[in-house]
Formats: sequence, structure tokens, C-alpha cells
Amino acid sequence: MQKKRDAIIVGIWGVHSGAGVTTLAVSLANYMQGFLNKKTALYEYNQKADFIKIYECFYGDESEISEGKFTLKKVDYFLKGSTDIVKLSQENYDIVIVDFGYSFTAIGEFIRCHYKIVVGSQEPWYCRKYEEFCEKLSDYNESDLWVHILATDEHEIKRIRKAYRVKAIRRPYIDNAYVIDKSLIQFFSYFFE
Amino acid sequence: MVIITLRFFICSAVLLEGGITATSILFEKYQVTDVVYESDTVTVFIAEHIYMSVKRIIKKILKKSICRDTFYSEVNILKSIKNPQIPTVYDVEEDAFAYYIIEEYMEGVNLHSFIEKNGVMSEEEATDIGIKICNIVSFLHCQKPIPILFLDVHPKNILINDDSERKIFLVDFGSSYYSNETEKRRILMGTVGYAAPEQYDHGRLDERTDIYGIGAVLYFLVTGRSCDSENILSLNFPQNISEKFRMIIMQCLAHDRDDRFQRVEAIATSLSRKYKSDDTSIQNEKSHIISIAGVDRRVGVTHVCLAFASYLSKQGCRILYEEANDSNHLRMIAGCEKLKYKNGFFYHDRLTLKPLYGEQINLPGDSDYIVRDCGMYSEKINDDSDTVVIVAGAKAWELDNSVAVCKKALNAGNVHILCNSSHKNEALSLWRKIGCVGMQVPALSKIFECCDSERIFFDELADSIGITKRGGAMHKKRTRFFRKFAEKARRNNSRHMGCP
Repeated sequence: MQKKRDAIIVGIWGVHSGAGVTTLAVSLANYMQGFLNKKTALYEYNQKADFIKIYECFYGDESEISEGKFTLKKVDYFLKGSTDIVKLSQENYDIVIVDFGYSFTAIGEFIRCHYKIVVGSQEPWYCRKYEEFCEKLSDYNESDLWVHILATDEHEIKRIRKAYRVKAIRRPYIDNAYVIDKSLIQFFSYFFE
Repeated sequence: MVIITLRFFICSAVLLEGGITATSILFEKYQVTDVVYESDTVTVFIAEHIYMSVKRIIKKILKKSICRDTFYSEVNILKSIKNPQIPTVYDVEEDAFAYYIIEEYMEGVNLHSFIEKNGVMSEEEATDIGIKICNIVSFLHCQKPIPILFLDVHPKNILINDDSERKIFLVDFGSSYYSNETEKRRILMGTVGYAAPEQYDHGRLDERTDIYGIGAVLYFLVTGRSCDSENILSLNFPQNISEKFRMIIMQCLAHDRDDRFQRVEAIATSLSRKYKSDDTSIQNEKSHIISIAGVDRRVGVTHVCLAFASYLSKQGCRILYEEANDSNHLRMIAGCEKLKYKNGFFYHDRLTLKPLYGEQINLPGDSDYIVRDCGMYSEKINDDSDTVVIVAGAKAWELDNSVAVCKKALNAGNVHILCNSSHKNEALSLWRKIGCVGMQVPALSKIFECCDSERIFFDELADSIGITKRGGAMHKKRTRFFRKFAEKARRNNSRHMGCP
């Protein structure tokens, strides 16, 4: 009997609140399922409870969520506390995407993900947070499996790549996480194919 | 007897109907505080729950104007949906003369009053409001298991909360129906100037009826006027309204439903992309969609689709082959034929091929024609196709099923029948039973190449659909030849239906 492979875990973590972690996580899940036809789970590992709002928007009364899980456009959404990452990775999924929010207390779990995506911005009121984050993680060996997705211009991206020796890329504009268009497909394909 | 009910809006601050006054208490718990709307048959009050100190909307409908089933139809629809932009139903009551719905109070003014007070909106503001309206209507159309049609999209049924967020609420579901129940309606409902043409007769209603209403509201937001459906071509836009915005409105207001946007999400996408140079989302709505489906699995639909699409592309047309079934055959063929792949599409010579993706993937091709491989036939295929082609088998064990599916498809509209049998007698038997003549598919050899007999067949098929060769490039032309046959078949079917 063939042993089933564990799912690939993609962790997305935000340097600050409002960095766009959930939007990116939902878009990536829709890309994985809709475009690559991968069985995808999306796990909310933060306190923001955005997934409940997503459910209310599409389906209505949140009290009808069964066992902390619902399905939307063939992606399975798991609320915080309904399961854990290890258990999810052993279920029948190809990809598990974890929305870590922006709390640094979750960093331990984030480091253990196969792919690690850091989302941030270089606005003047946020750039110090990003620098602090890079300093804190300077001990970790960043590889191709780390990606920094930043809301800034190309000039700043080049500076960050040089200064921190990280794989940095400009964050695309996502006007609707449930409509994956050509530009988003090209963006995600760059990393995941 | 069929009547058209028009809504006349008269606001009154003094309540005189049925003895209810501003200090009346209804059902021992609601203190009426104001009237927001009054007509001959419907009155809407604002009331405060005496014990909970919360505002409620009470809608009173006189029993003489509505039957019990219709009233509870509105209630059933409202209670089945939960959305922060649609009022929650808390209770229903009735007395000897009227029914009452007690609903959530939504803070805001209706768009009609808003425009009267503040003047017309700029294109940017109208775009923002338009996208929000599309989101709510799309929510209704996406309800499972049966979509809900609102059927009365107009400014007085849309509330706007005039804070920085400009939230939108949709109210008054008195005209709404589940999409499979629209034929039950006895009274034609709608608002003059916002109702789609098919609402004025007993035409079939679907999501595109609401799309018309959205277009009419967008027009109102930037002009302050409603559009008279008879003068669609001479609508007057202010000069500062861009050509793209006008095109979006005009497409929503197309008299023929097939010329409108086919999904509400497409309007929202077009509005949000209005300022980008890439407007393939609008362009794609203009592609002629040829849907090809089989009476059953394994009748050769994919082979016919690919061969026909390949043939058309060689005639100079921009063709997109679109896989709309879950067989995954295209990816297998792409692997065998080593097709080029880029950005989600496969390519073979001039032919572009798109495999099946999830509903969240928006990858419109840029093509004149879309040849859509639908797999097995279902009636939904007719809804967003310009032409439907059915591939039928005619062997003894296939005939009954083929006849049943072909007859069902012919009733739906502009359909062409292909018989995938090499025996002439079998094909003749099929034509006799369905009451019209189709075309016999020759034995197809290779997918992407045509021999002479296949070329003759595809020439005839293209001509019957209305695509004719002219100077190396294919142009669509009107043909009545096959439509006459289809019309005759439909008349024959309606006479002979049910006969053994």
C-alpha cells in the first residue's frame, strides 16, 4: 500500500496589522484549488476571526458553522482551535495554508512551515517594524523557501534584497481574493510551479 | 387576468390608514413612530420595540392586494438569507385586513432621496456604489440550492448609509422569487423605468433581469433620471461620463438578454477594471459562445469540439477552445500532443485552449468565438450560450435517450443537432423521431487536422451556425435556414409531445 505524502504547509505571517495576510492567504488558496486543482485547506491561526466574517458574507449565520470548518469554492476553511497544523497536514490535502496574522508569539509554528511568506510594507509608519523583524530573524537560515512580499516600489525592493539578503518581491494589488486573474496567476506561478 | 402593478411613492408624515397613528402600539409591543412609505396597498412604518428599545420596520400589506402564498413567499425568501446588507425578518403577523412583516431597521436613506438631496454622483462614486449593489445582488444569485432573483432593482429599494463607508442595503423583497418559481407569478411586478423588457410580458425571468435593473440604477446615479426602455438608444449621459462607463450601462440595458452581461460579477469586474487598459473582461462578453454537448458520455463531444475549433482557427478566426467539463481530457491531450503552455492556456498553431479551472479563476481569452466543450447536455447550457450544438448517437441502444435529450434541447432555443453515426439510415431514423434534420458527423481522424470530407462537414456546420468564410477571415452572418427548421421542430414537438 502506498504511503500518503503529508501536505505541503505554507505559512503566511504579517509584520504588522493590516499587512494583507488574510487577503493573500485566501487568494493563494483560491489559486491552488482553482488553478492548480490542489486539494487545499486554509487554517486561521490568529485571533482576528476573519473567517467567521467570510462565512457570514457568503452563507449567513455563523452559528451554522459545523465543527469549526466550512467550505467555500472548494477550499476548506478551518477556524482557530478547530484543529492543529500537524493533524491537517496528515489529512487528505495537497496544500495547507496557515494564516498566522501578525502576532510574534506564533513565530515558532511559522518557522516550521515548508514555505514561509512574510508580508509587510515599507510605509514610513511601518518600516521600523519590518527592520525589527529582520533583525530578530537574522539567526534563521533563510532559503528559497522564504519569501518577503512587500507593499513598496521596485527601488526599495532592491535595497531590501541587498541589505537583508532576503528574497523580496513586490506585493500585487488584489482587489478581490475570490477572483484570481491573469496577473495573480503569474505572480503565484512565479513561486509555486 | 394579468395586470401590471406600478409603484407610486407618496411619503407622508401622518398615519391615517386603518386607524394607526404615530402613537399606536401594534401587537402589544411595537410603538409606531413614523411612516417611511405609503401607497394604496402597502404602508411601511418605523416602530420601536417597547421592551427592547430597538427600532424595527413594520411593513403592512393589505390582504385585498395580495394572496397568502405570495405574502409568505416574500417572508420565506427573507428568512432564508442572512446578510448584513439585507434586513433580517423577525416576525410576521396578520389581522382581518392586513399582513405585517416585522424586519430589521436599516439606517439610511434611499438612493432616490439621496440623489434628490445631494445631486447626481460622479462616475467614481457611482462606480463604487455600483460594485456594492452588484455584490449584494450576486449574493442572492449565488444562494444554494436555488438562486434568488430580486426583480425590482431600483433606487427606492436601495438604502445608502451616508457615512464614510457609504454602506448599501437592499430592501423590499416583495417582487422576489426563487429562480425556479418565476413562472408561478400571476401579477407582473417591477418599476417602470427600471424593469427589464421581459418583465412586461410573461417572458422567462433570470439573473439577467436583475442585471437590467442594475444598469438602470447606474444610469440614474449619474443622471438623476430613470431610463425609458423604449428610448435606450438615445440615453443622454453627462459629458464627464467616460465611454467605458456608458458601455457598461448600455450593455446592462440591452433589450435582448443575450446581449447583456451574463453574470452580475461580470459587471462588478468591468466596473472595477474600468480604468485599466486591459478591458478583456468587457471584450470577452462579446465573444460568440458555441456550446457543444453530448446526449451522453463517450459520444465524441471532445473530438468534435477540438476538430471544429481547430478548423475555425485555420480559417482565420480567433478561437478559444474552453473545457467546461471535469473529464480532464484537455490536459491529457496536451501531454500527448506536447502542446505549448503559457499563463494558463495551451496553444496549438493559432488555436488557444483553456482547461477547466475553478469558478474563482478569471482568465478570459481574447477571441471572436468560444467553442465550449460541455460534456453532457444540461438545460443550463442554454442560458449563457449563443449557439448550442448537440452530439447524439443513433444506435439502437442510444436512440431513445438521444431523442429525449434532443427534444428537450430543441425546446430551449437555437440548437443544432449532430448525429455521430456513420450509418445514414440510423441518422435518418433520428431526424424522423426528433422532427428536424441535423447533420451527420463523418468519421473524424486526427484532432488538429482535417481531411477533405471533414472540411466539407465543418464548412456546413459553420455556415449553419452563421459563421461564413469571407476573404480568408470568418465573419458571422445571419442565417434563418436552420432556425426555421428548429422552429418547425418545436411546433411539431408541442403538437406530438406525449404520443408514443
